[in-house]
Amino acid sequence: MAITTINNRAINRADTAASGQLWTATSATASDFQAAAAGGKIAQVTTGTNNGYDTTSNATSNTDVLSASGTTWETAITPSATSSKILILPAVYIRQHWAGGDDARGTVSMWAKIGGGSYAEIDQSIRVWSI
Amino acid sequence: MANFYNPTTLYTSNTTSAVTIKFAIKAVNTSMSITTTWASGADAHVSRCTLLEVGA
Repeated sequence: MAITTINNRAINRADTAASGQLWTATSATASDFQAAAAGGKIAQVTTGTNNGYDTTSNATSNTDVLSASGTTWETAITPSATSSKILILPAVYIRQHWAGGDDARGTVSMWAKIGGGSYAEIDQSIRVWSI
Repeated sequence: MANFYNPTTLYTSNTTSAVTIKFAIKAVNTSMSITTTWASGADAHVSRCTLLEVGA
């Protein structure tokens, strides 16, 4: 593992770092305030937990998954920059009740909306089948 | 039959307004449940949705 040794004399300075700067070795014997490396940082995390619901559907149109309060279960985050992306990590427990019919199947889908806009489907990757 | 719905998704919102996520179910010739219980309810299953803002 490489070991970086900074210049101890250079640390003893009167000036201060600008916002977002880090103290960084700039050569084998010198160091200075430098801009932090860009990209890839996690700016914030939010988790929505649903442990008090029981939403069942036998309809062929989409039915919202509800929260314990009986309203649509929603999890929200407000990005700090327009250039940010939102990494969505869902873990939704589903159960299918087969009623004995042929060609029985069910689907779970994920939807997103921005601000007060309308929801748009962004994933429909689970299709549970029973024959 | 039970399963977890967990598709990791990187969503581009291009906004500083709130981004809200929800889930929906539908079924044909059967019924689908999003539930905390398995069979008689002996187990308690929790669903979660974690959202991370990833800076550019």
